[in-house]
Parts: sequence; C-alpha cells; structure tokens
Amino acid sequence: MSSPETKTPVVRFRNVSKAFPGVLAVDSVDLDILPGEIHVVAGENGAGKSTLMKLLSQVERPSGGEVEISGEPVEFHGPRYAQSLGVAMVYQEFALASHLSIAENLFMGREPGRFGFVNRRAESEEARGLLERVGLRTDPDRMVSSLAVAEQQRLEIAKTLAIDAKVVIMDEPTATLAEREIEDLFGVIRDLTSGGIAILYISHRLDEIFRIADRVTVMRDGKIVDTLPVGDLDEDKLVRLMVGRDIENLYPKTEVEIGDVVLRAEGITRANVLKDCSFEVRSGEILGFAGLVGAGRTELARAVFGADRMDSGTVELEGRELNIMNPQDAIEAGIGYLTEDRKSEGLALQLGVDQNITLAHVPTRFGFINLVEERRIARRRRDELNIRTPSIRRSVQVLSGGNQQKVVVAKWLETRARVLFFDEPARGIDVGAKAEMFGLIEDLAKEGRGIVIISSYLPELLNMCDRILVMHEGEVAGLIPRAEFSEERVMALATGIEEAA
Amino acid sequence: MSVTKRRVSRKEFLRLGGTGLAGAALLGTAGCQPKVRQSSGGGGGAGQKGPIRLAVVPKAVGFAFWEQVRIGAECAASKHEDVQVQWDGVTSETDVSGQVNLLQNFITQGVDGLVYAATDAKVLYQVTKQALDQGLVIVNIDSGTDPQPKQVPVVATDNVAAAARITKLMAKRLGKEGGKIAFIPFQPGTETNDTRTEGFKNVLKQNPQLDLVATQSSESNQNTALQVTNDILTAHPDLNAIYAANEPGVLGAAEAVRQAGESGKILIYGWDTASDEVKAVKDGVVVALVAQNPFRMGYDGVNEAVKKIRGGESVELKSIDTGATMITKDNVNEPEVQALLHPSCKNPPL
Amino acid sequence: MSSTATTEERAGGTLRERLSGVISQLAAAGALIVVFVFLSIASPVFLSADNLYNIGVQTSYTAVIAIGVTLVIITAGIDLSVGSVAALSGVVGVVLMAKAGVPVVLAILGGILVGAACGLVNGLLVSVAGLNPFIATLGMLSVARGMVYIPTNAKSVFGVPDSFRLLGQGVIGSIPIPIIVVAVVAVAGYVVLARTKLGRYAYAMGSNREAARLSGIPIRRYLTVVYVISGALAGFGGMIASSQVASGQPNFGIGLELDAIAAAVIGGASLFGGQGTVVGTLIGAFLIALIRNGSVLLDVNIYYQQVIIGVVIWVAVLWDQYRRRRLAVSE
Repeated sequence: MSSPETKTPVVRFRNVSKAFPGVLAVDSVDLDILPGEIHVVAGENGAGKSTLMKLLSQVERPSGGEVEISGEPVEFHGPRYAQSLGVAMVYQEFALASHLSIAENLFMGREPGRFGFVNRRAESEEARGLLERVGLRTDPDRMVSSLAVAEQQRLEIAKTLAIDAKVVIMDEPTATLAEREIEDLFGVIRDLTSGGIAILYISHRLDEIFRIADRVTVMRDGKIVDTLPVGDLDEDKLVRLMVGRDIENLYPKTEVEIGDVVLRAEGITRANVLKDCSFEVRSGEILGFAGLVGAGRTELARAVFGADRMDSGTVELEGRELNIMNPQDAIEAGIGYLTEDRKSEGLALQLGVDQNITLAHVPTRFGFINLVEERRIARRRRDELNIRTPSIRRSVQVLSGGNQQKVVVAKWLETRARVLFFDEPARGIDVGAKAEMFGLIEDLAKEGRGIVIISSYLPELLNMCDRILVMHEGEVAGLIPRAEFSEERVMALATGIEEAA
Repeated sequence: MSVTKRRVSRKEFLRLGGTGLAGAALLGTAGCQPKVRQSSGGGGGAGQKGPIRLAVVPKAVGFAFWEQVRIGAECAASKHEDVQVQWDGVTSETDVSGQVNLLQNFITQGVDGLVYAATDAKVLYQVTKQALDQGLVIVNIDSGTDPQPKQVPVVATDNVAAAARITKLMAKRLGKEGGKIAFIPFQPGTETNDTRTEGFKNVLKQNPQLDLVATQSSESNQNTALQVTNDILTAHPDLNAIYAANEPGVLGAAEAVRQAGESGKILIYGWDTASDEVKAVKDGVVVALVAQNPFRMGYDGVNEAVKKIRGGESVELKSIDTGATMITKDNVNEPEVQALLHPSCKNPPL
Repeated sequence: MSSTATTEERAGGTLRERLSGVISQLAAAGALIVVFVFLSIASPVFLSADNLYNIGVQTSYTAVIAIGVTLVIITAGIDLSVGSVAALSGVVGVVLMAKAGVPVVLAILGGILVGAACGLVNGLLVSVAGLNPFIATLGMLSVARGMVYIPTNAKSVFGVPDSFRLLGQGVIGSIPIPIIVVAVVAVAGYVVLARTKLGRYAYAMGSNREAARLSGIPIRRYLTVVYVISGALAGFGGMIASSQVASGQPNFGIGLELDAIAAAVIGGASLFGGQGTVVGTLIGAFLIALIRNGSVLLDVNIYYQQVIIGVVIWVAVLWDQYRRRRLAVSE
C-alpha cells in the first residue's frame, strides 16, 4: 500500500459538529478518509461514532463544519443525495425487502428498463456480476428471505457496489456472524479496497480491529481522541484511548468452588435442529456453548428453557425431573434465559427500567401490583448491578446496550433462577460494560448458580468458562475442560474436523 | 316467520351459471317468504304466459317501512297466477354499491323484472339501463333514478307534496307569531331526504314567521338524533317546533324533548310510523306524522310489473302517487289509519 | 465504574419522567382546552349546566367502549368489532327485558355477557388460532351485525321498562348516572392498567410479545382476557346507548369502532402497542364529543364535523410522534 498521505482524501470532515438538544454528539471533528483504506472508528457507545457516520451519509444534518467528498464540499440534501455522491451504508439491521428477490433488492429504486417496465434479464445479468464480486454465488432470482444472515450481508455490500460507492460505511458488520464467516467477510472487504473504495468501519471488537484496520480513529464524548496507524496500537493502548482510563481485566475469572450438579439435560432432541444433546451444569460453574452459527447452541438453550418445544429429552434441576412445556414452567422451576437479541426478545422497550426488572416476577399484594415494593426492588437491583439510568422509571429504550443488558440480568435475578443461560451476553455493548458484565456473571457463579454462556467470540469463552461444550450441526461435538482449552481444539470440534471423543 | 326453501329447476339452475351464483341466489332467498313454483316453460308472443320471477329490492331490509313494502309485494304476487317474488336488500340505505351488486346479481340470474327503490338516483340509473337493455321490466318504488326512463314508472309517495302538507299543519298550529324551528334531516343528498326537505322549505318560504334556526342530520341513527336534538335544545331553549324527516330522527327528537320535560311544548312533526312513533303521537309528544303507504308501493309496484310482463310491449305504465296520510291524535284510532299502520293482505290499505 | 447516580440526579430524573408521562397526553388535553375555550366564546349556551350535562351523557357510551379498545390497542391489537357488538348486546339486553320479562339489572348483565362472549371469540381467534387481530375482529364486526339483524330484521326493539332509562338518563343528586358509570369504568380501567398484572402484561405484550413470552407471561390467557374485557365494555356501552333511546337499535354503532379507536389514538395510544392510558382515552373521547356538540350548537354541517375530527386525529398523532422523536433524540 502506498503512503496514504499523498492521496486526496475521499472524505474530509472539517470541524464538523452535531448538536442534539442538550448533547453535543459530535464535537469539532477533523478527519480524513483516504481511498483504499480500511479506517476503523472505535469508541464506546455514545462516543459519537454512529452520529458521525450519519452526518456523512446525510441521515443527519451537521450543525457546524463542512464535509468534503473527493475534495469538493458537499451540500446537505439527504441520504439519496449522499448515495449519488458515492457514500454507501451497510446497516447493522439490513435494509432488505425479504419478499423480493436478490436482483430486485440490488436495483431497488434504480431498476433497469424503460417506461416503467423492468428489464428482468438485464437485472439478473448485472446482479450476477455484482454478486460474484462479493463472493455470493447464488441465483439472483432467489428470495431474500431464503438467504442466511451472512449472505444477506453480502447482498448489502453488493448493493454498495451497484451504486459505485467511493466510501462504504459498515456499522459493526460482524455482530451477527460466526468466526468463519467473519474471515470471509474480511476477504471481501480487502478486495473492495484494492479497487480504491474506502471503508469506514465501526467496531467494538478489539481483536477484529487489529485484524482488519489500516488506521484507527478513536472517539470519546463526541471528540476524536486520536487517529493512528494500526501498527502503533496494542490492545491495552486502544482500550485506554476508548475508555479514557485503564481497564484492569476484561475477563475477571477467579477460582470458584464448584459444587453439585444444578441442571442436567439429557437426550434433548428437536427434529432437524437438535439431536440427542446432553449436558450438565454445576453450582458455581460457568459452562460455555461454542460452535458455528446454526450449530444449535441457542436452540439447545431455548429447548431447555421451554421457549421452543423439544421432541424428546429430560431436564432435571437439582435432582428433580421437570416437565417444561413453556418458559413459564422453566422460570417457576428456576431456569433463566437471557436472549441473544435484547431488543427483539429480551426487553419491553417502552416499559420502565423498574417494570422490566420485575416483568418475570411482579410483586403483588391482594392481587394488585405493589408499586412501593416494585420500586424498592428496582432501586436495589440498580445499585447492586450499577445500572446507570437517570431514573428507575425511565423507559429502557433510552439506556445504553450495557445497561439494558444489566436490566435483563436484574429481571432474571428477581426470578431467583438457579441456572442462567447467557446468550451472547457481550454483544453490542462497550468494552467497559463488557468487563462489568463478565464480572457480574462471575459474581453470580460465586453465589452458587450454574451459568451457561453462549458466545461466538471464542476469547470470551476461553477466558470465562470452566468447561466448554462444543456443538456441531445440532449435536454435542465435545466437552473440553479448562485445562485443555485452546482455540484450535474448539474450532476443530466446531467445524467437525475432530470427532467427539 | 317461516322460511320456505325455493326449489330450483334444472333449467333454471343452468341459467344461474354456476355454483357461486346458485349460492348467492339461495342465500338471497333465505329469510324471505317466496312462493314455491315449478318452472313450466317460457312465454311467447306479446306477453309472457309462464311463471314470472320478480326481484323486489328495497333500499334496505329490516326497517318497518320496507317490511310493509314486502307484505304488499307478496300480497300482490299471491293474487296472480305463477308470480313469484324474491325479496332481498342491503342492510344499510347508504350501501349504494351493495345494492348495485345485488341488482346485477338478479339481472344475471335472469329474473323477469325488477321492482326496486333506488338508494342513489344517479348511480342506479346505470343498473336500470343495463336491465332495460336485457329486456327486463322495471318499476321503481319509493325512489326513482335520475334520469327516469319513460318506460320505468315510479310508484311512490309525492314527498314534496306530503312534506308541504305537514309543514302547513305546523305553520297553522304556530299561528301568526310563528316561532323557531329545528330540522333534522337524515341523509342529505338522497332523493327521499331532499324531496322531504324541498316541500318543507317551500312552505317556510311562504311563511316568514317560521324561523329555521338549526339543521342537523341524524344519519338515520337514533342515538345521533337524540344527541343533536339535545344540543339544539341547549343552543335554542326557546325552540318551538322540530321537523324530523324520518323514523330515527322523530324518535330521537321525541326522546330528547321528553327528557327535557318539554313534551307537548316543543311540537314535533315528522315522517314514518314505527310503533314508538305512533305511541308518541298518542302520548302527545309528537303532533303529527306523515304516513306513507308502503304496502301500496309494494302492491302496486308488483302489479305494474306483472301487467307489463303479461301484456307485452304495448302496455304503457304510468307513475303512481301512493298518497300520504297525516296521522294525529285525532285520527290515529280510525280503522283506515289502523289498516295503514298494520297492513296485511287480508286488510289492505287500498 | 462506580458512578452511582446522585440523589439529585435521581430526583430530577423522576420528576422529568413524571412530566413526560403527563406530556404524552398534553397534545390531546391542549386540543381539548383550545376547543373548550373556543366554544365558550363562540356559543353563549356552551357553558350552561344543561349543555355540559349533555356532553357528559353523550360521551358516556363512546368513552366506556373506548376504554376497552384502549386496552386492546395497548397489546398491539385492535378491536374493530365493538360497534357491532354494542348493537348486538344492546338489542339482546332490550329483548331480554322487553320481551322475555327478565329483570332490568339481569338483562343489562345479559347484554354485557353477550359482549363478553363476542370478545371471547375474538380473543381465542387471536391468541389460540393466531389470527391477526384486525382480521379476527373485522370478522366479528360482520358476524355480530348479522346476528343482530337476523332476529330483528334490522327493526328497532321497543317496550323497555321505565326503570331501564335510569342507566342512560338517570341522575343521582345532580350527577347523571352515565357519567358516574364512566367514572367507575375509568377508575377500574386505570387500576387494571396501572396496578394489576393484567395491565402490566398488556403493556409488556404490546411492547414486545416475545420478550413477554420468554419472561414467563402466559400470553394466550392474558390476551384472551383483554379481548373479553373489550367485548364486555362494548356490551356495556351498547346497554347505555339503548337506555338513552329506550329501545334496542340494530343499526346502532356503525362506525363507532372508529370513534373509539380515534379516542384512544388522540389520547396517546400507539397502534404499535405498549402505549395508551385511560386518562388519555377519556380526553380523546371528550374531545370528539366536544367537536360534535359544538358543531351542533354552532349549526355546522355534520359532514364538516367528520372533517374536523379527522384533522384532529392527524394533528394529535403527529404532535405525539414529534414529541417522542424529540425525547428520543435528546437522550
């Protein structure tokens, strides 16, 4: 790669600011994005990364300063205009019409053809070429709803090619991908940059920042803290820049005395999804579920929890066999499940922090909700879990991801659960909040609960767990004790290279 | 009410053109009192000799008024040989497109004639035209179309004249000083509503001492009529009289006046003869009601249609005014009025 | 990180929180006040005791029905059948007392039960059969209307005992009974929404059905109960309306579901669920009644009234959305 200083920047922010009522979300930012570079913007939630991107893609109008594209200052005319200038955005939640075909999605709003008729053949052919470039070898006439998540993302990237983007903004593109898919995605991204496209990449994950970035800009409180070539950074330095202080230990694993078996699941089977899966969790133990996306980790947890039906299998809690027909039964027995997707499955977003905390266990007196008790519980949990909210009655949708996650944890603590399943507990939350979350999980284990962590990010499991159960295609591929932990071993089992012992 | 299933001959069934229409036809007849007839060949020459099938379609089924039309129509049918009446209608007088569809279904089924009341004069003209083109005989009852084809007679109350008569009663009662009057129409834009308004306003023009202070529609809903009358009474505590253009309006106004303790002080004049309206006349809450003769509309409507079908092209039909009777406390118990209020084939108000 | 919120922050937050709860009804309340003041000036009789009494009485059945609909809307559902159900209940209740000689109170209960039964069918179709609420209740809109037309031939049913008039027309002291009824239903509705599991779960189901299910809430049971309540209140509203005109009206309530939904929406309920209050809905219902009343007092054509009400719905909801967006952005 040639020295970046010599090129004209694709995007230049000059003293750009964005004020919302009461907040300066972006504060006097100066930043150059060079053609062909992968520029990571890092920072905690609320640091202003997403707002900065919205100023570029013209979703929001800057309150001050100027944005230049290819050396020309641009006026503000909204997202479509930004697109026409070559600014494309790959959204975290894909903006695809699932009932239309791949080709129809690719050309939505710009269908080839005349007089209001769509030239379907031209559409298909052009689509094939674009899909090729993002490594998506499939029929352009397929319905988008039949695509896997990773494939849908490729389609989103292909859409940016379809508009001849000069700069592509990616907001946490790996959040929903498994390890192997991430590697493939990075390959595609590198291919794009070799053609001169600049990538603006927003990420929380430290490891992938080091894998993909050319340069890293760290934001905090709306300001740029520093912009550095990735070679000048190490993990500690990056975290320090993001958080503004030292994080001592991201994974605060300590020695906990492991007790008796709390939960034993045997022969859990669900047609086409789970085949004869068994595992046990002991009191004080943290068990990890590893595996590729679709290996059945979430499905196994959901089956045990009664969220999905199981065809056969037994679940025992502290030696008592349970008959779990629905989540209600599981909760009554003492099992909790923190879903992977907080917003769509974990929280009632419009309800208050207090109401979410007590949702699974509403305190009542004489048939009426005991509001005094409810608020007492909510305050206690807020202090205990250090949930940062201006008020316990504030609706949870305004909280940060980390604090939302803590509200979910508080809800399950209220059910007095003996076993807690954490499905991707650190997804979409800050580095600081992540450390806090794992500290919290560790504390819960210390109190004698059985913990299961499901994660696609191996370092989390390798650092936090006592044992890791690896799944492959709906079956338990192997169980690794802490002494034998290694990334290679997990991957070998997860990909089916190594057969279960 | 007994329900007789209509038997459909094979030939007739084929004419219905498929099960969907057959279903519609059977549904259409359920709940009525059709005569059972065997099909026995078609007619010929100038007039049709064989059985006649007539569709009689009111503006809406249910209301007392239309029930009496039905009784009259079926009475007339029973007095002819081989005449069968199919009674069906939409459930709301505002359901114009529903009525259009219904009539078109009847045309498709191949009835010999349509005796119907148009829910919308302009829209239904298209249906009339279509039916005439297919050689059907058409008689309008109660409400005609715009334009009114010369071969289609209207068998109806002269609403303008009747409205003028009752308004004159009101003017006479209020005397020289006159007074403040409220008007409760029910569906501005419909012919019936507008003709009843026209006769009323004509008389107002001749009597400047009558001061129209409020006009509020009941939307043919008694609760709405009650509410608007309440509000009118609030706005005009010195109101002298109310003219209500149909049953829900009269009943709602009567209820409001009764609740306000103004029975007999605020004079109510109106249309139609539902049992509670007549009771209100006897109680003195309502001064006078325009009683139409819906039985005769049904009766004459069917007779005219049969006359033309049997007689052939040469027969020319004329429109008929079925008349209106002003019902007051004085005449309400007389036999002619009772026959009008409770018509039957045995005691027809003719 | 140990920056626990200070006491001041907490107090401030709570105050702000309370305010934002109130503000959500401000749009409707503001419009109510504007219309009220306007009418006070425009019509000399508007503020008379008689007129205010009339408005209260006229709003009564719409308000009772709208409270039930609000509960359904909070669960992200909709009940389109309330107008038809009210007519069916009203007629059945009147037939019971006028034709079958059932004592008035029992006949009223009978009418309410008929409404509840319709609600039960709606509820089961939605929660067990999995029909979209719009479809389930659209079907009931037609079924209930048909069922009231079949036996009555769409003819009004007369002959109610005089004591039945008390429900819709009576007064206790100088307070109209229908207003007392609305107050009782509103207080009960408020308590249910704010202080019972049913209310809490309604908000939770409307806010996030899956989160509610995974929190162990028996969705089907509570959803069914919500529709039963809506049906029962529709039935009750139908009885009040019947009492006001001392007859059973098969044609009653055509389009009433839209008034009820409009009242709820003007009052801040969101058709996407999770939001709505009894107070807001009452304000919405009164606003609609005020517009109707004022239009008659000023002798405005009824069709203009419909235009005005439509515009009020737009303005109230647009204002509400604008406010929420601002609130969300300022976080």
